[in-house]
Amino acid sequence: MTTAKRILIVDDDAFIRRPLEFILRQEGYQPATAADATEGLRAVESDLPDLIFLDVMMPGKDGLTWCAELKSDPRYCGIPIVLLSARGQEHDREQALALGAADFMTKPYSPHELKRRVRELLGCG
Amino acid sequence: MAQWSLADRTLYAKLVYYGPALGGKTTNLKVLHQVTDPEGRAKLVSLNTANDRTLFFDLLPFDLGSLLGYKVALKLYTVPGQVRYDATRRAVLAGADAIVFVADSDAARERDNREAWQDLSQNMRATRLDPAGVPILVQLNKRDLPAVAAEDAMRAWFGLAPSLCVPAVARNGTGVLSTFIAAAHAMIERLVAMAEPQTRRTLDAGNLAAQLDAAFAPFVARNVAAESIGASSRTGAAPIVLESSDLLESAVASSVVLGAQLADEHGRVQRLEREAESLRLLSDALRSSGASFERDAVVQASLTAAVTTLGAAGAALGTLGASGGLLLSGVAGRDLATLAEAPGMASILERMLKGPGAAVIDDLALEAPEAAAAASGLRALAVIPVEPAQRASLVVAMPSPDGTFSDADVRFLSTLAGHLAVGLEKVRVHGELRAHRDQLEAVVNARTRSLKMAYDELKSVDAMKDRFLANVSHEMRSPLTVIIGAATFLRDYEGDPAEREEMMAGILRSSQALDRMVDGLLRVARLDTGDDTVVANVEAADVVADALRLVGAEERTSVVVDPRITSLSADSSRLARALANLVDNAIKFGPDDEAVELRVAPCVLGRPGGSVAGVVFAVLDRGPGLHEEEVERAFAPFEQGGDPLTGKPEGVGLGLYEARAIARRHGGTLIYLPRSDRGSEFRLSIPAEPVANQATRVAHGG
Repeated sequence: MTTAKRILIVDDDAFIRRPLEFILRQEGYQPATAADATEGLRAVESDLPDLIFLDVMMPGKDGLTWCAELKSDPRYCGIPIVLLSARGQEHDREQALALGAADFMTKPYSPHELKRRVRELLGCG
Repeated sequence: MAQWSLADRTLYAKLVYYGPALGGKTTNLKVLHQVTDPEGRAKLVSLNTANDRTLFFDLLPFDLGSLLGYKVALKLYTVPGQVRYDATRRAVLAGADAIVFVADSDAARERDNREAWQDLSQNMRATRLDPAGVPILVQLNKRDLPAVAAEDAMRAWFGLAPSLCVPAVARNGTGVLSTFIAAAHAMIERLVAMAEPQTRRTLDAGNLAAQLDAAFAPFVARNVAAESIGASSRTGAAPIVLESSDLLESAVASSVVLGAQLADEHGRVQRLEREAESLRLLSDALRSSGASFERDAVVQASLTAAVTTLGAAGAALGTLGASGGLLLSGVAGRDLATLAEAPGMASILERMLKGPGAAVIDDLALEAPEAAAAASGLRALAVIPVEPAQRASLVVAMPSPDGTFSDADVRFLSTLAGHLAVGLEKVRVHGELRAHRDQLEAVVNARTRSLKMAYDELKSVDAMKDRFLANVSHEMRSPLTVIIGAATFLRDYEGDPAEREEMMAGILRSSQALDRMVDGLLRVARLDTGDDTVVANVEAADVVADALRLVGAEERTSVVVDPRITSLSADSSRLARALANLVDNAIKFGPDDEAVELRVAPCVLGRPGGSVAGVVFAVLDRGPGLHEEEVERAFAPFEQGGDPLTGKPEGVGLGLYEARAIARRHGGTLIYLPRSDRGSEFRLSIPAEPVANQATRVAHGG
């Protein structure tokens, strides 16, 4: 038996975190949540995730900035990050990928599509 | 009159010996003839008159050799001294380039000297010789007589510098050559100074004095030799003596007159050349670009040409106004305004200007004595039409005492007037073209401006559309994300009851947020498209309570209503919405632990027709406030404060836009004021009573 993959969800809106959290748990992953970059970093430090879902627009440190920080940190740069944004312009996607994000998804996203991406990124299923 | 002949490179000049009878004029010439022409190539001609008096009339042409690159041919004349030969004297004097006055030093002949000197002065005037332009030397002859007047006294009487008074004893040759050389010096210097520019360019006038000295050197040498021999032993060629007869005398006089006429003719030719040169310069000036399109410059060039070419006292462009009245403009030379203002002159000038052709007054003193007295220094006046349609003419005045307009002058002025007319026409056409161009430019500019305004407006509408799409789509995406995620969970998984409950609550909440948003958009769309504001008497406290309820801000807001305010006329739901938007903003941007203040108080609203009583609703917070440059943007639709990545509040950016629109619908205003310590104050003021045409009042009851 393999250990369940850990997925960290960082979004300031609890109503967005919760459905994602429930769905991922039902799919057999081990989700954790954080409301902003500070909480997120604490979660990363205490229990290194296999994948991070990260909202772009958040109070305090925005998702793009934190993504860049994680990617420049040798301890965490290997964690794939999927950026989530309600702004869907093409340049937002380009900017996210340029910062080292593994993927970029616009809200509202299809849960089915989300599950497919998770499987691809974690190389299983 | 001197002639610089460019063709044969010879200067022809005339030197006249003048003076009382028997003063020694002829002796001077005889000595000079002997010294300068010992071989007697040129003949000395003498005419003896009848009744015992002697009329000497001597011609002495000789060659001075090369001077300034020119040969100099001088003709020497003496005039008859006797009073009765005045006409002949004038004929001989005419056109003189220099004059030697041979005075008799005999103390007894002082009176003869004076009479001859006055006679010279009169005859110079009569023959138009300029006393300032023709050099005059005085020879104090017969210094060897026993009773002579003192040199100093004589010099003082003639009023001449010592260098221009040469003592002499012509009988033995003393002082004759030096008199002649001094006169020739003065004459040639004068002629060089007065030469036309065209001629002057051909002159080799490096060191004039040295060249003159060199030219005269052989004569000086011969003279010294002659003086050592003694005048009595001189053997010059004997003069040809003609026995007097009236016929002979008149023949000689005629030949002199003819010579003078020839000289005049030559002068005329030179003058025509000068005029041609002036016209050429003028036409160059007109042709050259820039200045030629300036009316003043064109007029000035013509007037200057008239003054310099004719030696006129002054010139102006005279124009007759439509209702009479004379305007002189572009004055060159002497100002003619004094003349025009002189008594009687205006009407004379007007008459001359009205005439069809050139009009000339030869002597103002005869035509208009008063005017002539007022405008002293002017003698003759010419008016030459330039543009008859514009009633514009050249007005030119010649100086007194003897300025006149010859036929040639009038012809020249007519030609000049023609040039000026062409120049003025050019100026006019250019001006019209320029005005046309300016007009076109103005039209193009106006069109460009209106296009630019239309473009700017379109651009701002376009930017608003972009903001609308960005904001609205973003604001819809978050609740949709929740709804889709929660609904998917509910459909696909069993979950536990608590989870299912939470998902359903999320769906409800997000749907309500979407509903509010659509509601807000529709409200603003209605505000933008038509006026359906309905006012009624409402209680201020009720409106405030409604507003706080709309945004659920009852707990966070401290309300202070002035007791003087009870009811007011307003569209209560709209006003409550406006206040709700302001309170909502204050809560979003203010710190969480600070209450928002809402104060209601009476106020006075300024209006064009006087001020009216009003009510002000002030909403105050302790948020960051607005920078000066953010204020206008804040009121624009779909604009939002905060950092789009980290601090953007919920909403699509219509709150202030809607609140201001509602205030305006009530005939009021919504303004922003920064708070001196920190935060924002939004003041919504509306009249206490409805403003006519601003809202429809609904009658109560019934």
